[in-house]
Amino acid sequence: MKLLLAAVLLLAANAHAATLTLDIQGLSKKSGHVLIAVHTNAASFNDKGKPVAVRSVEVTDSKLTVTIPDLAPGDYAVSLFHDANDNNKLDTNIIGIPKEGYGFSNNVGARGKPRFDEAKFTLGADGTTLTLVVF
Amino acid sequence: MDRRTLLQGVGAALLAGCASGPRPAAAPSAAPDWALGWRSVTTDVLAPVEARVDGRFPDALHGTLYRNGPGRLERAGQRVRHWFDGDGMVQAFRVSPSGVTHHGRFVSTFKFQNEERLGRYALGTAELPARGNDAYNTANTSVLMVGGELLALWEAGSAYRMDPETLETRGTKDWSPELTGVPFSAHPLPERDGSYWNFGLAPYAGEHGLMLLYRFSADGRMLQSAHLPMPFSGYAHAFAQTERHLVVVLAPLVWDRERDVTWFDAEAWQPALGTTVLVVDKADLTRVVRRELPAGFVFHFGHAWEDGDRLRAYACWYEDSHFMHLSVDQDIRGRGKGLPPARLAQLEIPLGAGEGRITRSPHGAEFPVVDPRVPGRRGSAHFVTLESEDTARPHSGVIARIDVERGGVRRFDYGPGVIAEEHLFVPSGPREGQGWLLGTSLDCVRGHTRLAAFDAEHLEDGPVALATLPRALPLGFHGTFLKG
Repeated sequence: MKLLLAAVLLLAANAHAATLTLDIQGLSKKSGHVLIAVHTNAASFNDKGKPVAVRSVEVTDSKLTVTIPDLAPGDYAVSLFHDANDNNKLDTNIIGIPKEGYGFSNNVGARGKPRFDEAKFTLGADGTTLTLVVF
Repeated sequence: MDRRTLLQGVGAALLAGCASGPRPAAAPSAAPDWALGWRSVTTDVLAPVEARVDGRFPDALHGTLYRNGPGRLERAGQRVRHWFDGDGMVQAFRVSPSGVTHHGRFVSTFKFQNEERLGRYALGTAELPARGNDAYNTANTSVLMVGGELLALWEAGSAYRMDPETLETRGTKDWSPELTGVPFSAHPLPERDGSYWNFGLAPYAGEHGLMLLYRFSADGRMLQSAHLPMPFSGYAHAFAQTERHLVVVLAPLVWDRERDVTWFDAEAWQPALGTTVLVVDKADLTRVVRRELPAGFVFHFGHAWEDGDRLRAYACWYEDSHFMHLSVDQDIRGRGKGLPPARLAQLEIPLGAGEGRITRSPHGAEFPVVDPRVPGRRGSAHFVTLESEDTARPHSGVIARIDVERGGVRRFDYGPGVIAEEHLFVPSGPREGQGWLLGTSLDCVRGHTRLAAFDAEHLEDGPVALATLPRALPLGFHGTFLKG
């Protein structure tokens, strides 16, 4: 009974969770997938922790929309890259410069990888829609 | 016409120390406008113009002198942070029996094209995202003919290919998919077989940065490349070679990705680290010996050679990295603010154990040029711009030949309102340093750029030929001479 109650409470909490909508633009190739990670802290943002949500979305156009429901309202940062050749990694050249498209929330990173704080945004209780440009 | 008459003939009585020479039609203002050297060209092209020629350019100099340098330093009221950030413009001086012409054109880089279109600096903003090194590429440092194309060289990304006739940009030089857009210095060194060595530094790659090494053919093929970890993310602009080694002198100017510190930030200078020399075996680019020197900073090298159990190399040696941290305003003001010039110095680098040594000459010098017929071997003559510490002369109008073996200095002074630029050596006889010196200078009093030719063994006699352009060009860095 207690367990059931807990599940009901959880559902109730979910009912108040927010949806993050990402309008992703500027995909240069119509192939592969966009790999998206949503982070709650700098460690996760810097590949040293677990993202709160991840998505892999097939690319068939130069833009696409992704919705990520059931997130608690609060501060997040999004990072993504376009794995155009589906090898599950961001390909780089020998000096570590990405050869595939990438992007961050707030569209920071035009000069290279930003810090978590620069990419941080607040997800409101009513949900938030971000437009992300892929560099 | 003797040379003294020649100098007077161009209204340069100041140069020859003779007050009775004819004056130019427009009386020059007394104070030099040093800012001319850093004034932006605001058109894409400087259309061909004839220069006024006095004297006669020797046949050996019939050909084209190409020079590169930052031609645009501001947009929409905003100035570049550092002189080195200006957009590259290539100048072509064509010398023929019928005269001397000049034309110039900006290298049409990604950055230049887009910021021209936008009318302002926008790189690295959402409006003009920067992808990879070539987004920042200004292609502004030097030029080299490779495979029938003129390469406009930078150091942190690709060379750009240009049409040597029209100076139109054809695109980046992509040696291979793997080597596209990676750092490639502006100072390739010729090997005796006609191929070239080059290097590049990527201080942000790997743990402490990567050093790239290249060997390419004169017809534009990559023959060999390697990449090695750097001991720390230090800086080098050019390098030296001996018969068996490549010598990269890494200044303790440390790029720190975590702290957002680049080589242009004053806090990057960490003299406690000392200067490190990476000695690379030409026969096996993965064999690198690391040696230490006292802390100091070098842009350019002269002769270098093997001397038994050690290497010796001449360099223009600065005691610190201050030049990397100057604003354009400070460049215009010039010396006199406690910033001593580089001194021609001999670096002694033991191949075995032990610390290296610096022996400084008394000569302030930059833009060293040596006889290309003695690559990697002991030589004497260094052709330089001679830099004094005289604060009354904030910029140097003096060129010199410094014979380091014999100790002689021969000099020519363009005069107090003139800034001398790099002068190239063109061989004409069998002796080391026998030939012609060809170079440009900017007259900041009269507002002309000039091209002059000297007998390289008798600079003090003054130019044998002098071409005066009806325009002043912003100061450039390095050039190459193409015969024919």
